[in-house]
Amino acid sequence: MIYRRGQLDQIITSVIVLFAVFWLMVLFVNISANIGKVEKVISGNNLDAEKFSSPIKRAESRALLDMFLSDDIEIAGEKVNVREVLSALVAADSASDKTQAPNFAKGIEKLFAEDYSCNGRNVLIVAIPDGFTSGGYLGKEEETYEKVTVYINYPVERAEEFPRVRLVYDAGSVGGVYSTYESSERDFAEYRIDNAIVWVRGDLRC
Amino acid sequence: MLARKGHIPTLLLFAEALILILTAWYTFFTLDDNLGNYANSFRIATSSVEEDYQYVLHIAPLIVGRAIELRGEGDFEASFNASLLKVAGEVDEISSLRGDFFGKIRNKEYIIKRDGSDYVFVMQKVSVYSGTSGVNAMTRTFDISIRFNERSVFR
Repeated sequence: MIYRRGQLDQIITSVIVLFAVFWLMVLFVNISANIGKVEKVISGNNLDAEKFSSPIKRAESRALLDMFLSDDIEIAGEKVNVREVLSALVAADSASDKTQAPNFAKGIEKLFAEDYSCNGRNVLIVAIPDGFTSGGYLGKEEETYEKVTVYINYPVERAEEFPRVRLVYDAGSVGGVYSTYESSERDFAEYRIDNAIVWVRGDLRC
Repeated sequence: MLARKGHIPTLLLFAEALILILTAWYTFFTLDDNLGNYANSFRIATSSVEEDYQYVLHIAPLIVGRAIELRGEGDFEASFNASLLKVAGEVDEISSLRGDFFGKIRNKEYIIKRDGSDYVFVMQKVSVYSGTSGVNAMTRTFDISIRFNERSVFR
């Protein structure tokens, strides 16, 4: 009788332990099945995410961009750095005289077309702050933008996908399109130049 | 008396099983969250070092090429070195490279070897790094060798 009672306790305990082990195994199998499970996550602009998926491609783009931005264009017989020119665009915008048309932007386009377009593979878009009132630029609208943005290989038609995008100047005759926009910055690769006034977004390939 | 003695190991067995079960569950439920973060920071560090390594390999010939293009008159090596210093300085102002490539040009830590009518730009032990110190800080060290002549870089 004594032994029977002891055996019964052990049987009950073993049943409980077996039950617990069974559920532990179920849990383990469930967790194991989910490890490594691929879920498709789409955040922001998927096309841009794909563009920068490779560090090698991004490195190549960065190298070409740095060479482009540190290159010189000639303005009134004087060589000026592309970065300085882009900075000057902001300075011109913030000046009281809004009538100065940024003709030197054409120099950037020319340089880009000759040395960095790689037979038309790369397309340059310069987003210039509002406020230019001549030279083909529309007048100041409801807001002033505080920085110049350079887009490279950014499809113009996709501008409509983002809110508050508007073209202010179509420089078709000189081979480029200017636009301003204020939109989700995280959708683009960011390439900041000091003083928070010039941003380059996009990649460059040859 | 005997029956009571028989209960002690049985109860202990039951208690130990419960402890094991709870420990296992606790481990399962608290384990997985941080693994992704650790893997992600490691992936970012690796990717960053690889990208900067590739960046140096891409930009070095471009800088040498521009230095050849913009060099002044006179002795080739002297004018090339001066031009290289200027071009590299301009690119360095923009570049976000984490490494000592531009510093080595500034400090003239490279050699130009003459090989017939060609030249070879050699820079040894160039470093790129990710992170500052501690966990997931990585450094990659490599050499650069670029062959060129007085007109252009050989690709």
